[in-house]
Amino acid sequence: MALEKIMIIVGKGVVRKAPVVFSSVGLGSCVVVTLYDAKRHIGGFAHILLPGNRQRTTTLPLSTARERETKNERRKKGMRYEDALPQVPSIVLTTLSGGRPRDSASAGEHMFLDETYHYTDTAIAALLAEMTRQGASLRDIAAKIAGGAKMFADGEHYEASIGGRNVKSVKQLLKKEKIPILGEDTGGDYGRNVDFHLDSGRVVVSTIGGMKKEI
Amino acid sequence: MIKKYLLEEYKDYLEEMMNIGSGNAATALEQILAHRFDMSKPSIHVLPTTKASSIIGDPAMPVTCAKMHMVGDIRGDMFFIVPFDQTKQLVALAQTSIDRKMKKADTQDYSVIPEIGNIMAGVYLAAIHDFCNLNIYHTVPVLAKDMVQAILDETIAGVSQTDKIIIVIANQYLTSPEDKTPMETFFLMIPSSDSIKTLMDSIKEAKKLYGA
Repeated sequence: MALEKIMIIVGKGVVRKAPVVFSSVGLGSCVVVTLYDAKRHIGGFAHILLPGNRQRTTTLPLSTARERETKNERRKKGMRYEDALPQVPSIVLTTLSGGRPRDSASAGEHMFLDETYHYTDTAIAALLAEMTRQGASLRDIAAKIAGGAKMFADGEHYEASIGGRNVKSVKQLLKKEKIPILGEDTGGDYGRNVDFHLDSGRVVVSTIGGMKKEI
Repeated sequence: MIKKYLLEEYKDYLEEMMNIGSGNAATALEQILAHRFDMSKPSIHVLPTTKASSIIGDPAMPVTCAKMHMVGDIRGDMFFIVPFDQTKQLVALAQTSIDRKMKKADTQDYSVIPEIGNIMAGVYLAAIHDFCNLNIYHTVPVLAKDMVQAILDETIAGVSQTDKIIIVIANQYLTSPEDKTPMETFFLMIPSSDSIKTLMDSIKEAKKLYGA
Protein backbone atom coordinates (compact mmCIF):
# COMPACT_ATOMS: atom_id res chain seq x y z
CA MET A 1 0.00 0.00 0.00
CA ALA A 2 1.46 3.33 -1.01
CA LEU A 3 2.31 5.51 1.93
CA GLU A 4 0.55 8.84 1.75
CA LYS A 5 2.85 11.73 2.53
CA ILE A 6 1.16 14.93 3.55
CA MET A 7 3.18 18.15 3.50
CA ILE A 8 2.23 20.48 6.31
CA ILE A 9 3.08 24.07 5.52
CA VAL A 10 3.57 26.84 8.03
CA GLY A 11 0.56 27.48 10.20
CA LYS A 12 -1.34 24.33 9.29
CA GLY A 13 -2.36 21.38 11.40
CA VAL A 14 -3.98 18.07 10.60
CA VAL A 15 -5.11 14.87 12.29
CA ARG A 16 -5.20 11.48 10.57
CA LYS A 17 -5.17 7.77 11.18
CA ALA A 18 -2.30 5.57 10.04
CA PRO A 19 -0.77 4.85 7.57
CA VAL A 20 0.23 8.36 6.66
CA VAL A 21 3.43 10.36 6.88
CA PHE A 22 3.25 14.01 7.87
CA SER A 23 6.14 16.13 6.72
CA SER A 24 7.23 19.67 7.37
CA VAL A 25 10.28 21.44 5.97
CA GLY A 26 12.17 24.54 6.87
CA LEU A 27 11.49 24.75 10.58
CA GLY A 28 13.29 27.75 12.00
CA SER A 29 11.67 29.39 14.97
CA CYS A 30 8.44 27.52 14.28
CA VAL A 31 7.64 24.52 16.43
CA VAL A 32 6.16 21.26 15.22
CA VAL A 33 4.04 19.44 17.77
CA THR A 34 3.20 15.81 17.08
CA LEU A 35 0.55 14.11 19.18
CA TYR A 36 0.18 10.35 18.91
CA ASP A 37 -2.28 7.87 20.27
CA ALA A 38 -0.20 4.71 19.99
CA LYS A 39 -3.06 2.30 20.65
CA ARG A 40 -5.30 3.61 17.90
CA HIS A 41 -2.54 4.95 15.60
CA ILE A 42 -4.13 8.37 15.40
CA GLY A 43 -1.70 11.22 14.96
CA GLY A 44 -1.97 15.00 15.02
CA PHE A 45 0.65 17.32 13.59
CA ALA A 46 0.77 21.09 13.80
CA HIS A 47 3.32 23.56 12.46
CA ILE A 48 3.02 26.40 14.91
CA LEU A 49 4.23 29.93 14.40
CA LEU A 50 3.73 31.93 17.56
CA PRO A 51 3.22 31.50 21.28
CA GLY A 52 0.12 32.41 23.16
CA ASN A 53 -2.95 34.40 22.44
CA ARG A 54 -1.94 37.95 21.74
CA GLN A 55 -4.75 40.42 21.19
CA ARG A 56 -6.73 38.33 18.82
CA THR A 57 -10.45 38.44 18.74
CA THR A 58 -12.02 35.05 18.61
CA THR A 59 -15.57 33.94 18.34
CA LEU A 60 -14.79 30.75 20.15
CA PRO A 61 -17.04 29.49 22.93
CA LEU A 62 -14.11 29.81 25.30
CA SER A 63 -13.44 33.40 24.32
CA THR A 64 -15.75 35.03 26.84
CA ALA A 65 -13.98 33.24 29.64
CA ARG A 66 -10.67 34.42 28.22
CA GLU A 67 -11.72 38.05 27.92
CA ARG A 68 -12.85 38.23 31.50
CA GLU A 69 -9.57 36.89 32.69
CA THR A 70 -7.37 38.92 30.40
CA LYS A 71 -8.77 42.16 31.81
CA ASN A 72 -7.70 41.10 35.25
CA GLU A 73 -4.36 39.99 34.03
CA ARG A 74 -3.74 43.24 32.24
CA ARG A 75 -3.78 45.07 35.53
CA LYS A 76 -0.63 43.30 36.52
CA LYS A 77 2.17 45.27 35.02
CA GLY A 78 5.31 43.81 33.59
CA MET A 79 3.80 40.42 32.81
CA ARG A 80 4.69 38.84 29.55
CA TYR A 81 1.60 37.94 27.63
CA GLU A 82 2.38 34.25 27.70
CA ASP A 83 2.62 34.35 31.47
CA ALA A 84 -0.62 36.29 31.62
CA LEU A 85 -2.54 33.74 29.55
CA PRO A 86 -5.98 33.19 30.97
CA GLN A 87 -6.72 29.85 32.48
CA VAL A 88 -8.40 28.13 29.57
CA PRO A 89 -10.46 25.24 30.85
CA SER A 90 -8.38 22.19 30.27
CA ILE A 91 -9.72 19.74 27.75
CA VAL A 92 -8.79 16.92 30.08
CA LEU A 93 -11.32 18.13 32.59
CA THR A 94 -14.17 18.38 30.13
CA THR A 95 -13.64 14.91 28.78
CA LEU A 96 -13.16 12.76 31.84
CA SER A 97 -16.26 10.85 30.95
CA GLY A 98 -14.83 8.66 28.23
CA GLY A 99 -12.75 10.82 25.96
CA ARG A 100 -15.42 12.58 23.94
CA PRO A 101 -16.19 16.26 24.34
CA ARG A 102 -19.68 16.71 25.70
CA ASP A 103 -20.86 20.00 24.32
CA SER A 104 -19.91 22.93 22.10
CA ALA A 105 -17.15 23.84 24.52
CA SER A 106 -15.13 21.31 22.58
CA ALA A 107 -13.27 24.12 20.99
CA GLY A 108 -12.21 21.90 18.14
CA GLU A 109 -15.61 22.14 16.44
CA HIS A 110 -15.36 25.87 16.12
CA MET A 111 -11.69 26.28 15.65
CA PHE A 112 -11.00 25.54 12.08
CA LEU A 113 -10.25 29.12 11.10
CA ASP A 114 -7.16 30.12 9.18
CA GLU A 115 -5.15 31.16 12.18
CA THR A 116 -6.03 28.23 14.37
CA TYR A 117 -2.70 26.53 14.06
CA HIS A 118 -0.65 29.71 14.05
CA TYR A 119 -0.70 30.00 17.83
CA THR A 120 0.36 27.36 20.32
CA ASP A 121 -2.70 27.44 22.55
CA THR A 122 -5.33 27.25 19.83
CA ALA A 123 -3.27 24.75 17.84
CA ILE A 124 -2.90 22.27 20.68
CA ALA A 125 -6.53 22.67 21.71
CA ALA A 126 -7.65 22.09 18.14
CA LEU A 127 -5.42 19.07 17.68
CA LEU A 128 -6.64 17.45 20.88
CA ALA A 129 -10.26 18.17 20.06
CA GLU A 130 -9.93 16.71 16.58
CA MET A 131 -8.05 13.68 17.82
CA THR A 132 -10.70 12.90 20.40
CA ARG A 133 -13.36 13.45 17.77
CA GLN A 134 -11.64 10.83 15.61
CA GLY A 135 -11.60 8.41 18.49
CA ALA A 136 -8.33 8.95 20.29
CA SER A 137 -8.21 8.83 24.04
CA LEU A 138 -6.57 11.66 25.91
CA ARG A 139 -4.94 9.30 28.36
CA ASP A 140 -3.09 7.55 25.55
CA ILE A 141 -1.84 10.64 23.75
CA ALA A 142 1.86 11.50 23.95
CA ALA A 143 3.74 14.35 22.32
CA LYS A 144 7.03 14.98 20.61
CA ILE A 145 8.21 18.46 19.70
CA ALA A 146 10.81 19.83 17.31
CA GLY A 147 11.89 23.25 16.18
CA GLY A 148 12.13 26.52 18.03
CA ALA A 149 15.60 27.37 16.79
CA LYS A 150 17.24 30.76 16.98
CA MET A 151 18.68 31.10 13.52
CA PHE A 152 20.78 34.24 13.85
CA ALA A 153 23.38 35.05 16.47
CA ASP A 154 22.21 38.59 17.00
CA GLY A 155 22.79 38.86 20.72
CA GLU A 156 19.23 38.06 21.74
CA HIS A 157 18.82 35.48 24.49
CA TYR A 158 17.27 32.23 23.36
CA GLU A 159 14.48 32.47 25.94
CA ALA A 160 13.44 35.86 24.59
CA SER A 161 13.46 34.81 20.93
CA ILE A 162 10.36 33.62 19.16
CA GLY A 163 11.71 30.07 18.97
CA GLY A 164 12.41 29.95 22.69
CA ARG A 165 9.03 31.36 23.58
CA ASN A 166 7.29 28.91 21.27
CA VAL A 167 8.95 25.95 22.91
CA LYS A 168 8.23 27.26 26.39
CA SER A 169 4.59 27.89 25.54
CA VAL A 170 4.14 24.42 24.02
CA LYS A 171 5.70 22.74 27.05
CA GLN A 172 3.51 24.74 29.42
CA LEU A 173 0.37 23.84 27.49
CA LEU A 174 1.21 20.14 27.24
CA LYS A 175 2.00 20.06 30.94
CA LYS A 176 -1.35 21.64 31.68
CA GLU A 177 -3.11 19.06 29.54
CA LYS A 178 -1.06 16.35 31.26
CA ILE A 179 0.36 15.06 28.01
CA PRO A 180 3.85 13.58 28.35
CA ILE A 181 6.60 14.76 26.01
CA LEU A 182 8.40 11.65 24.87
CA GLY A 183 11.02 13.33 22.75
CA GLU A 184 12.22 16.70 21.63
CA ASP A 185 14.76 18.34 19.37
CA THR A 186 14.51 22.03 20.07
CA GLY A 187 16.74 25.05 20.17
CA GLY A 188 20.02 25.29 18.37
CA ASP A 189 20.74 27.51 15.41
CA TYR A 190 19.86 25.21 12.56
CA GLY A 191 16.76 24.56 10.49
CA ARG A 192 14.96 21.25 10.63
CA ASN A 193 12.77 19.01 8.51
CA VAL A 194 10.37 16.79 10.41
CA ASP A 195 8.73 13.53 9.32
CA PHE A 196 6.07 11.91 11.44
CA HIS A 197 5.19 8.30 10.64
CA LEU A 198 1.75 7.45 11.93
CA ASP A 199 2.07 3.70 11.67
CA SER A 200 4.83 3.59 14.25
CA GLY A 201 4.74 7.00 15.88
CA ARG A 202 8.33 7.64 14.81
CA VAL A 203 9.36 11.25 14.42
CA VAL A 204 12.52 11.81 12.39
CA VAL A 205 14.22 15.19 12.39
CA SER A 206 16.76 15.96 9.68
CA THR A 207 18.95 18.96 9.11
CA ILE A 208 20.54 20.61 6.14
CA GLY A 209 23.80 18.78 6.70
CA GLY A 210 22.06 15.49 6.07
CA MET A 211 22.01 14.43 9.69
CA LYS A 212 18.93 12.52 10.73
CA LYS A 213 17.81 12.03 14.29
CA GLU A 214 14.88 10.14 15.67
CA ILE A 215 13.21 11.69 18.69
CA MET B 1 -5.69 45.55 2.94
CA ILE B 2 -2.87 44.54 0.68
CA LYS B 3 -4.86 45.32 -2.43
CA LYS B 4 -5.28 48.88 -1.36
CA TYR B 5 -1.55 49.38 -1.10
CA LEU B 6 -0.43 47.35 -4.03
CA LEU B 7 -2.13 49.41 -6.67
CA GLU B 8 -0.31 49.20 -9.95
CA GLU B 9 0.94 52.78 -9.72
CA TYR B 10 2.71 52.23 -6.41
CA LYS B 11 4.20 49.02 -7.56
CA ASP B 12 5.58 50.61 -10.74
CA TYR B 13 7.23 53.37 -8.78
CA LEU B 14 8.70 50.93 -6.31
CA GLU B 15 10.05 48.85 -9.16
CA GLU B 16 11.59 51.88 -10.78
CA MET B 17 13.25 52.82 -7.51
CA MET B 18 14.60 49.34 -6.98
CA ASN B 19 15.79 49.08 -10.58
CA ILE B 20 18.00 52.07 -10.04
CA GLY B 21 19.09 50.64 -6.73
CA SER B 22 20.09 47.42 -8.48
CA GLY B 23 22.14 49.30 -11.01
CA ASN B 24 23.97 51.08 -8.24
CA ALA B 25 24.42 47.78 -6.44
CA ALA B 26 26.11 46.23 -9.44
CA THR B 27 28.42 49.24 -9.71
CA ALA B 28 29.25 49.06 -6.02
CA LEU B 29 29.98 45.35 -6.25
CA GLU B 30 32.24 45.94 -9.22
CA GLN B 31 34.22 48.50 -7.29
CA ILE B 32 34.54 46.46 -4.13
CA LEU B 33 35.26 43.13 -5.76
CA ALA B 34 37.25 44.61 -8.64
CA HIS B 35 35.43 42.33 -11.01
CA ARG B 36 33.08 42.97 -13.86
CA PHE B 37 29.46 42.26 -13.07
CA ASP B 38 27.00 42.24 -15.92
CA MET B 39 23.57 42.64 -14.49
CA SER B 40 20.48 41.66 -16.31
CA LYS B 41 17.28 43.52 -15.51
CA PRO B 42 16.32 42.75 -11.94
CA SER B 43 12.91 41.32 -11.25
CA ILE B 44 11.07 42.92 -8.40
CA HIS B 45 8.20 41.28 -6.63
CA VAL B 46 5.91 42.67 -3.98
CA LEU B 47 4.24 39.76 -2.24
CA PRO B 48 2.45 38.65 0.86
CA THR B 49 4.96 37.14 3.27
CA THR B 50 3.66 33.64 2.87
CA LYS B 51 4.92 33.47 -0.71
CA ALA B 52 8.46 34.69 -0.09
CA SER B 53 10.23 31.36 -0.08
CA SER B 54 8.51 30.25 -3.25
CA ILE B 55 10.02 33.13 -5.22
CA ILE B 56 13.47 32.16 -4.09
CA GLY B 57 12.81 28.51 -4.87
CA ASP B 58 12.22 25.44 -2.80
CA PRO B 59 11.54 26.35 0.85
CA ALA B 60 14.07 23.73 1.87
CA MET B 61 16.76 25.10 -0.43
CA PRO B 62 20.05 25.72 1.35
CA VAL B 63 21.16 29.34 1.15
CA THR B 64 23.60 31.72 2.70
CA CYS B 65 21.92 34.73 4.20
CA ALA B 66 22.86 38.03 5.78
CA LYS B 67 20.12 39.55 7.92
CA MET B 68 19.91 43.21 8.84
CA HIS B 69 17.30 45.30 10.59
CA MET B 70 15.97 48.56 9.23
CA VAL B 71 15.70 51.46 11.65
CA GLY B 72 14.55 54.99 11.11
CA ASP B 73 11.50 56.05 9.15
CA ILE B 74 10.83 52.48 8.13
CA ARG B 75 11.41 49.59 10.50
CA GLY B 76 11.69 45.98 9.54
CA ASP B 77 14.12 43.36 8.32
CA MET B 78 16.26 42.91 5.28
CA PHE B 79 17.79 39.73 3.95
CA PHE B 80 20.52 39.26 1.40
CA ILE B 81 20.20 35.69 0.16
CA VAL B 82 22.52 33.73 -2.10
CA PRO B 83 21.79 30.11 -2.99
CA PHE B 84 24.40 27.82 -1.49
CA ASP B 85 25.86 26.49 -4.70
CA GLN B 86 26.51 30.02 -5.88
CA THR B 87 27.94 31.17 -2.58
CA LYS B 88 31.22 29.41 -3.23
CA GLN B 89 31.50 31.14 -6.58
CA LEU B 90 30.94 34.52 -4.96
CA VAL B 91 33.29 33.84 -2.06
CA ALA B 92 36.02 32.67 -4.44
CA LEU B 93 35.62 35.87 -6.43
CA ALA B 94 35.86 37.98 -3.31
CA GLN B 95 38.89 36.20 -1.97
CA THR B 96 40.89 36.56 -5.13
CA SER B 97 40.04 40.17 -5.68
CA ILE B 98 40.21 41.51 -2.14
CA ASP B 99 43.29 39.39 -1.55
CA ARG B 100 42.14 38.06 1.77
CA LYS B 101 44.29 35.68 3.71
CA MET B 102 42.38 32.50 4.28
CA LYS B 103 42.32 31.30 7.83
CA LYS B 104 44.04 27.97 8.05
CA ALA B 105 41.20 26.32 9.88
CA ASP B 106 38.50 27.58 7.55
CA THR B 107 38.32 26.10 4.14
CA GLN B 108 35.42 28.38 3.42
CA ASP B 109 35.20 31.83 4.90
CA TYR B 110 31.71 33.05 4.30
CA SER B 111 32.13 36.36 6.09
CA VAL B 112 32.22 38.14 2.75
CA ILE B 113 28.50 37.48 2.33
CA PRO B 114 27.39 39.76 5.17
CA GLU B 115 29.78 42.38 3.85
CA ILE B 116 28.20 42.25 0.42
CA GLY B 117 24.78 42.31 2.06
CA ASN B 118 25.85 45.43 3.91
CA ILE B 119 26.78 47.14 0.66
CA MET B 120 23.58 46.10 -1.08
CA ALA B 121 21.46 47.33 1.81
CA GLY B 122 23.21 50.69 1.78
CA VAL B 123 22.64 51.04 -1.94
CA TYR B 124 18.94 50.16 -1.90
CA LEU B 125 18.21 52.29 1.13
CA ALA B 126 20.00 55.18 -0.58
CA ALA B 127 17.73 54.69 -3.58
CA ILE B 128 14.69 54.81 -1.32
CA HIS B 129 16.06 57.94 0.32
CA ASP B 130 16.65 59.66 -2.99
CA PHE B 131 13.20 58.88 -4.29
CA CYS B 132 11.02 58.94 -1.22
CA ASN B 133 12.94 61.13 1.16
CA LEU B 134 12.90 58.47 3.86
CA ASN B 135 15.81 58.11 6.26
CA ILE B 136 16.38 54.43 6.82
CA TYR B 137 19.51 52.90 8.32
CA HIS B 138 20.49 49.30 8.53
CA THR B 139 22.11 47.41 11.37
CA VAL B 140 25.17 45.20 11.30
CA PRO B 141 24.44 42.06 9.28
CA VAL B 142 24.46 38.60 10.84
CA LEU B 143 25.14 35.46 8.86
CA ALA B 144 23.25 32.19 8.60
CA LYS B 145 23.59 29.20 6.28
CA ASP B 146 20.45 27.12 6.23
CA MET B 147 17.14 26.52 4.51
CA VAL B 148 15.26 29.55 3.18
CA GLN B 149 12.08 28.80 5.07
CA ALA B 150 13.92 28.40 8.37
CA ILE B 151 15.75 31.68 7.92
CA LEU B 152 12.61 33.67 7.15
CA ASP B 153 10.61 31.95 9.89
CA GLU B 154 11.36 34.34 12.72
CA THR B 155 10.49 37.44 10.74
CA ILE B 156 7.38 36.02 9.14
CA ALA B 157 6.17 34.73 12.48
CA GLY B 158 6.52 38.12 14.12
CA VAL B 159 4.25 39.97 11.75
CA SER B 160 0.58 40.21 11.09
CA GLN B 161 -0.35 37.80 8.37
CA THR B 162 -2.93 39.88 6.66
CA ASP B 163 -1.25 43.08 5.65
CA LYS B 164 2.36 42.18 5.46
CA ILE B 165 4.31 42.61 2.30
CA ILE B 166 7.73 41.55 1.18
CA ILE B 167 9.71 43.32 -1.48
CA VAL B 168 11.91 40.81 -3.27
CA ILE B 169 14.60 42.00 -5.65
CA ALA B 170 16.05 39.15 -7.68
CA ASN B 171 19.31 40.06 -9.38
CA GLN B 172 21.11 38.01 -11.94
CA TYR B 173 24.77 38.65 -12.49
CA LEU B 174 27.09 37.34 -15.12
CA THR B 175 30.57 37.35 -13.69
CA SER B 176 32.21 36.87 -17.04
CA PRO B 177 31.05 36.97 -20.65
CA GLU B 178 31.72 33.23 -20.96
CA ASP B 179 29.38 32.52 -18.07
CA LYS B 180 26.36 30.61 -19.23
CA THR B 181 24.60 30.33 -15.89
CA PRO B 182 24.09 33.69 -14.24
CA MET B 183 24.60 34.05 -10.54
CA GLU B 184 21.37 34.88 -8.81
CA THR B 185 21.03 36.82 -5.58
CA PHE B 186 17.95 37.93 -3.71
CA PHE B 187 17.44 40.99 -1.62
CA LEU B 188 14.36 40.96 0.59
CA MET B 189 12.87 43.89 2.41
CA ILE B 190 10.17 43.24 4.95
CA PRO B 191 8.83 46.48 6.42
CA SER B 192 7.02 46.12 9.73
CA SER B 193 3.24 46.37 9.71
CA ASP B 194 3.19 49.95 10.90
CA SER B 195 5.84 50.99 8.41
CA ILE B 196 4.07 49.80 5.29
CA LYS B 197 1.70 52.74 5.38
CA THR B 198 4.63 55.14 5.78
CA LEU B 199 6.35 53.61 2.77
CA MET B 200 3.28 53.71 0.58
CA ASP B 201 2.43 57.27 1.58
CA SER B 202 5.96 58.39 0.80
CA ILE B 203 5.78 56.76 -2.60
CA LYS B 204 2.49 58.53 -3.21
CA GLU B 205 4.02 61.88 -2.22
CA ALA B 206 7.07 61.29 -4.36
CA LYS B 207 4.95 60.40 -7.36
CA LYS B 208 3.05 63.65 -6.97
CA LEU B 209 6.27 65.57 -6.62
CA TYR B 210 8.07 64.03 -9.53
CA GLY B 211 4.96 63.65 -11.59
CA ALA B 212 5.89 60.11 -12.53
